[in-house]
Amino acid sequence: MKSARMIFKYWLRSKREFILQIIFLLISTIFTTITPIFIGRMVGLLDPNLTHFNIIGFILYLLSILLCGLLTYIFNRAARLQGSEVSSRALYYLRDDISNAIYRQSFSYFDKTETGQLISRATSDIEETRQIFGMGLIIGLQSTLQISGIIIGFFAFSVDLSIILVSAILISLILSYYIAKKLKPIFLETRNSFGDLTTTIRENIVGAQVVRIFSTQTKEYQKFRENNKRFYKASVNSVKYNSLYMPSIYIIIGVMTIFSLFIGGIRFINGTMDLDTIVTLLSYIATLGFPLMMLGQIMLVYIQADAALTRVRDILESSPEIKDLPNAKPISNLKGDIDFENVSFGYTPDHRILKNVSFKIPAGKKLAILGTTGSGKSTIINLIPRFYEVNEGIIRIDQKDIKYYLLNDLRKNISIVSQETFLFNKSIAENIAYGKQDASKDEIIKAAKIADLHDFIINLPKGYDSIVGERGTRLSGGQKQRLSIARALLTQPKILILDDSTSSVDVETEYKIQQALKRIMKGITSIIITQRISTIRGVDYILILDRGRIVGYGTHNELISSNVLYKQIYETLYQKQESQSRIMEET
Amino acid sequence: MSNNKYKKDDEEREEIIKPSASTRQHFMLEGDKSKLDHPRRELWRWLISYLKPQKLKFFLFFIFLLVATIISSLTPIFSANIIDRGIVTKNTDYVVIMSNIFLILILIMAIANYFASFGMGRISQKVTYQIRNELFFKLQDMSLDYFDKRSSGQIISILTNDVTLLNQLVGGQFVQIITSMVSIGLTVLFMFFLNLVLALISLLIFPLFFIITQFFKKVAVLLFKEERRTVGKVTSSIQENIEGAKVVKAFGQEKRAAIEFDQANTANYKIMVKIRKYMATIFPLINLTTTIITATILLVGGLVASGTISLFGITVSVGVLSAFITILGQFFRPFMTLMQIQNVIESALAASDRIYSLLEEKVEIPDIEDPILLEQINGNIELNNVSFGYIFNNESVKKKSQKQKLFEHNLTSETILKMVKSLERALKINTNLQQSGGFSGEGSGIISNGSEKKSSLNILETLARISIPPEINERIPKIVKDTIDEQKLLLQHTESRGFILKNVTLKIPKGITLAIVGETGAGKTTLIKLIARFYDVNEGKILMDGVDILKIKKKDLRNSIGIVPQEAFLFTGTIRENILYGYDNPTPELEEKMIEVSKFLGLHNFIDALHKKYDTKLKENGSNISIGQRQLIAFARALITDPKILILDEASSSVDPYTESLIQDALNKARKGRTTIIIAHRLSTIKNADKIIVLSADKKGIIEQGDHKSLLDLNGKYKQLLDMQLRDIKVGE
Repeated sequence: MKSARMIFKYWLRSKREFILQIIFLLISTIFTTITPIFIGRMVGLLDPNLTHFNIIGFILYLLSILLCGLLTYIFNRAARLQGSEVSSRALYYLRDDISNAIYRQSFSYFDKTETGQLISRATSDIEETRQIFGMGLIIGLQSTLQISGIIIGFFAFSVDLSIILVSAILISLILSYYIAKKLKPIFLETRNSFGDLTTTIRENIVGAQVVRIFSTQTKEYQKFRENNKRFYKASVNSVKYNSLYMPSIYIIIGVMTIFSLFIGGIRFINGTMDLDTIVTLLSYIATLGFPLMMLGQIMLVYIQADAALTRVRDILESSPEIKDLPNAKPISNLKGDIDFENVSFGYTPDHRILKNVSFKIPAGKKLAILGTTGSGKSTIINLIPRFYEVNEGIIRIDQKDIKYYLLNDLRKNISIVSQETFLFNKSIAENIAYGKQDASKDEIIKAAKIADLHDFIINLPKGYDSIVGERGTRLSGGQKQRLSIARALLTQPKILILDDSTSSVDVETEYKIQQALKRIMKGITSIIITQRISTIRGVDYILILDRGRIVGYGTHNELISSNVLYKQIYETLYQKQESQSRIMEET
Repeated sequence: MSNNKYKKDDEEREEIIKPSASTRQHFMLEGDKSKLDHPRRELWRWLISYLKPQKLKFFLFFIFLLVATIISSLTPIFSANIIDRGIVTKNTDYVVIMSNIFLILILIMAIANYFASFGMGRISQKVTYQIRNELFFKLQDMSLDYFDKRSSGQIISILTNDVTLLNQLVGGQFVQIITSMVSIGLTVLFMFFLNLVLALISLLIFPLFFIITQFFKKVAVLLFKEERRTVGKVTSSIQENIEGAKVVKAFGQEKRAAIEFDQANTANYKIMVKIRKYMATIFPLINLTTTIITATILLVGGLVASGTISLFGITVSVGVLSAFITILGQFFRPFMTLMQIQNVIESALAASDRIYSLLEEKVEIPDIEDPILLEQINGNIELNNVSFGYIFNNESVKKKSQKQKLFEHNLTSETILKMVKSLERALKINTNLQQSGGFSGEGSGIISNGSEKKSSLNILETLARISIPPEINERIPKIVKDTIDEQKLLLQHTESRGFILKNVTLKIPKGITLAIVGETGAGKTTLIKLIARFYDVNEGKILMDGVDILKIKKKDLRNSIGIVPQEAFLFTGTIRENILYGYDNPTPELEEKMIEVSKFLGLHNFIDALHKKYDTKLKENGSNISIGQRQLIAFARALITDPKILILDEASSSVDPYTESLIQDALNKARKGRTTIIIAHRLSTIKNADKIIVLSADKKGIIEQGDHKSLLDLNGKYKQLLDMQLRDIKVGE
């Protein structure tokens, strides 16, 4: 029912049009309801028991029917015109709300939810609501009003028949509801089993070689058959209940017809009912089938939309974990002292990645972080701009707990260049200036020069206006990384974080960038995750992490003499570099 | 600025929607009857063969369906009859009896309808269940050749989409079509039976319906196309900002992302309103038409009934008039269904065609009758004068390429660019949008889906075949380029220009490490596939321990080879299930072995640090662990069977330095005591090999061989390749 409420909420955002639509439909229903009366009267004039034929009456009724038809057309169309606004806006608002909800989420949300899932909820799930918003509205209203009109019409002519009609309709609706309820879990099961089926199919096609290498064809076939069987069963169940619809409607229409004929007929014979009335009632019944069928269909559509909307609601209802505290202050003149005090953190509640980490970086100094995969290097980096909240301990910048700064200010002062660069499908200039929309051309060029990108850019046919392509696919890995560096530098951050950011770049270029960075990094606090000897030699302090704990902190000279682990790491890296240089020399 | 952008898009859109006559002809756009590989009769026969085992049931349900439909068509007649013979004539008994009969008939109709729907639905589900099983089973029997020739998407689509389509035909649509055909047919018959003249007037409704729907269809198609385009923009906008969410947040650009999205959202909203407003006329118009015809019937019928006019002496009764009113009100739905018949049948036949083709494919090369059983394979490999090529094996492919060649030369740069653009657009617009059903509200039941997808495929194939001039090549966006390259590789398998390897002779003594280098397309992977007998040589022999591999059981051969492919493909399931993939039942010994191998490869520490360790479930294609770790797992999977021959197709994509060193170490340890063949990309790997061979695409074979030092001295291709690699290589690993 939550989804139903949600749907109405979105329709009602276009209150005026919604009300107009109902009014127009009401009017058109009035005309559709009185038409059978005219038809009845008209045919009634043909009663062979009558003595003479009232031709004028006949023609008048005919003209009334035509007039009613025309007016129905006009108002029906008018109603649909209003409905088109209501339906389209509903979808627009839903999309809008989702997009807002997504952008205000914190990082952890994007970790917990796979981007693929998120994207499918924001796109295909919303697409699935189209029918309910559109057809659901106009057909739903129309059918309901039509049926109501028919009931009223019946009531006007025969109270007991109308009671039978209402009962029949109620039974039909209850049945539809029952079917819908049964179908809901079946629908989900069909979907899920089909998803599993597709996964197995895909795996066996993409991994065809592996299957043949290991001769696991039989094993895979068994697995497939099971999935296939599941899907088969769910589908058959679905058919079982779906098939109940039409017969039930046939019965209702049939029963109503028979009752009308029977009761009406007997009454006519007894003289208590006119022929007109019988014809009128039959005309009503003739128009009953379609709206009943449509209401049933809408319930089916609703089930599908319900599943989609439930997922969408998830997003709409999740509140961001990290937001500004009520007394958060703006930042002015950040120096860049960073201080971690007893910080512990884990992405999941039961597992800590960082354990009791404490260290300081004075403003303007450079820190290199070393450690194996999973040691927590990237985690430390994510905590500084408050992408995640520490579980225990405090992080301070300029002696103040970062929680007390306005998030936006905090992030504007910190720039990160990460391992995987994400670029937008905009121009190079727009990407470089992403952090500062009103940046001047000079600022952009300056940043590009530092990243050793400027020469490459001006040689492109469209220069800085060249479009980078979806996810930056038109650029090589190295160019992307350099662009990311330029982007980070343009905002003139006080704290710069580099996460293994020259890994895709060749030796020469790396050297140039390092030189340039050296120049601008004066006065900026920098934190660098690296595996390069040259970088390590160039920093002020080195932090060594192992499985979430600090196992070494100090300058290179301090560590090389006192820290066994550092010595090991340093020597390994040194050797690797030497062997690489040797190979280069030989060729 | 954004307005301009949309305007330019409009112009381009015009081009695509109205292509020139010649392009239309070549790309088979719009309203072709699909060309099938098999004659229709054969496909129908094949489809019907699935019904044979359920023949009786099917007939039974079919009869039920007919009964239900006949009764339903009769209802107006019944009513008419009761009115005229019972009510008007004041014959109470008649009314009572006939009402009872009517009631019984209705009940029979409802029950028959239910069982017919359910029964046929179930049969059709059974049929599709069987077809899917058959398809999957067949796939497992096929040689790698089949998979190499096609994109995975194509094959997946056959087992999923095509079978689903078929199901719709045999199940739901079939019932509807029969019902509609029979009911319209019978109804028309009965109408004539009731009254000739009125029937003729009633039939006028059909051409009117037709005109209305056709009229709206034309414009609607364009509007729908535009709408899909705007949806594509909405999707890509939100997709981009979700994928780059962290960047958006890191730079505090949430508001901006929201504004951009709003632009796309608004554009879609506007066109949706336009479409709905346009459609708002159709259904009311249909209703009006029905009313007008009904009024006409009443007029004519009434005048005749009252005796005012005389119509060739035909009489009209009250009952008859009433019957016609009922009938007319119910014409539209079956009419719509019938309009769709051609489309439904065509798409179902096309689907069956593809399914049938797959089922007809030849299976993997079987073992020979008396295979030689080798007690133990030692790993001594020899290639004697081996030649091989992926060649034409499909007549229709040959014909197609000849046709393409004909106009290849007439493509101007402009046309090529347009094709590229349209391909780019097609690649952007996701076709995962659901097609709305044929309900009156949305009206897309009237509009049939265009042949857009087909034309995109044709464009792709053409672009892959022709040689694109370099100035244009530069301007092609990477996503399109990648797709074209993929297609090129596919074509290599289907339309090779002769041999890939010619007269290759090579000795790989047991226990040595061989590194294979060469540029893309030189035949490195091909060589490996031949050794593992995924393909058989065209000329020459490959010997394993002196025995021709054609004479050995394939299973034996592959059991002694461990392969770590380039893209470490992992299945959904736990890490344990993946490492032990080659085994059916896990045993405690296997568990021990698994840990041993993991430790050997330096993988164990990482797994141990995971929350669920070896029971950690891997997501689709192992996306919840890093690439390097995936490779190590694939390595473990290959090593656990203790193969005498280890084949490694080195991943050329970058991996984090730490894991990379793990893989290097693992490789160095693993190759001891095994014949190891590596398609190498890393300098260190190549340098450490005992023997290196350099393959060339032009020369179709080995142009240089030896060890690292001696090859360098040659100052030939080897040196060239190394130089190129160094320029891109990372230092300090």
